[in-house]
Amino acid sequence: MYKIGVVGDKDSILGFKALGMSVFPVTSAIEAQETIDKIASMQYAVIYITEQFAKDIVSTIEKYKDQRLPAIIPIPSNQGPLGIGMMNVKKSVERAVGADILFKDE
Amino acid sequence: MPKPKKIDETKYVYAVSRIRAIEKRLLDKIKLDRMVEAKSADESLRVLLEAGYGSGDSDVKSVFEYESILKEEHNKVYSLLNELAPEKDIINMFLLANDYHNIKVILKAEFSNQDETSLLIEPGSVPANELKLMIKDRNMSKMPPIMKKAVEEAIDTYSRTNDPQVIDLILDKANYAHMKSISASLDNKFVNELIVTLIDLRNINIFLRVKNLKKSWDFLQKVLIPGGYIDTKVFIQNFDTPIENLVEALRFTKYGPLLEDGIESFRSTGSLTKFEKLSDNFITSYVKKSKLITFGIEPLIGYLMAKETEIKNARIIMVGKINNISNDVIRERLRESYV
Repeated sequence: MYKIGVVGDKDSILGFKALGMSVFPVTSAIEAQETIDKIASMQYAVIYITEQFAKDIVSTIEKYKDQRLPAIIPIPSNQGPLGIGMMNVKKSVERAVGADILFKDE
Repeated sequence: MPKPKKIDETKYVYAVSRIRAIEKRLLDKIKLDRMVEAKSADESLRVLLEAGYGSGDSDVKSVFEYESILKEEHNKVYSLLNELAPEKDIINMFLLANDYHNIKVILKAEFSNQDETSLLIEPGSVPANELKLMIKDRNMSKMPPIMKKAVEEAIDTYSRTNDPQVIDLILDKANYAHMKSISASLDNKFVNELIVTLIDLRNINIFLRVKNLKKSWDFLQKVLIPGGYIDTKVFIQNFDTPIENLVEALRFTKYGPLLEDGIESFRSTGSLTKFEKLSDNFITSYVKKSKLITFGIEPLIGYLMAKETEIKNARIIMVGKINNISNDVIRERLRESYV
């Protein structure tokens, strides 16, 4: 069975544990990068990463973009959203449909 | 029941002198303020290190080490008190909570086939790995009787019901029963009253939480802890009525003012934060009495509770600072300090 992993600062992500996800608290971008690389090859279908770390390890996340698994999804941390997650949704929609049908008014 | 043994106060002359000397190093309001006002989590941590936290060498690489530093400080307090206290039972009494936590973790991990090591808390009155072995081998003969009975009951009840909550219910009750039995074996009013007060505060807390969860009174009956100064009947009778009735029923007990303040904020916010803070302050102001006692176990317990509060405060500040919580919010949550 596939699992869901969450990478980020401890105080932001610990709550996900109660939902049965595996949490991986990290304190630096390098650590986040290593964790992603490590768990990407394990049984994780979805990996959530807080935007605070996602913004520093874009290249690592890009690497997995064209693979079927895992899907790496940036989520806001407790410091508020940075807009990276939404930006990615927008990009994915453009890629799939050919036009931005969700946010074109903004 | 064996006759309660009187504590021989003269045995405490050295211990109390040591405690009085190191008590001066407790973080006072000024130092806590400096930690809150600090511009960054790094600076807050530095105040802690200056106050003697950590191992002395100042090569702390990252603020995230605060957790291990606080843990280490906690260990230091207990090993110091164990070294000083002629009667170890009394100090160990305050470690029982960790033991029972560890037992819960070990049992639940076993029943759900998970690894628990990272969730165990040290120090315990019984080291965690010994507990683990005893439970794994189902050989609990070396455990204190109350603990042994509780573990057996938890295993048995779980195997019949498959409900992990029974583990918590049985062990939480046993935890307080165990503390109460140790305090009953000592002829010491200060300790006895402290335990009774802890049970009362816990019960009020349970009452509010069960109300929040909208559970029935028979669930409340199951979770209340016997042995407090307030009879558990008082809680049950006032459960299906508005919350004011409980406040009214307890108005003329020593918890009157605490309840009024705490429940006011519980009603408007539905959160127990304020009540829990006031409960902690209540205990602190109780143990402050020990400052007036020249020789005896009281100053040691006072120091122990003071240190627990201090570590809690340090944690609140560090977590707040790391997550950019505003100073006002941090200050709102800080417990009153002992000094």
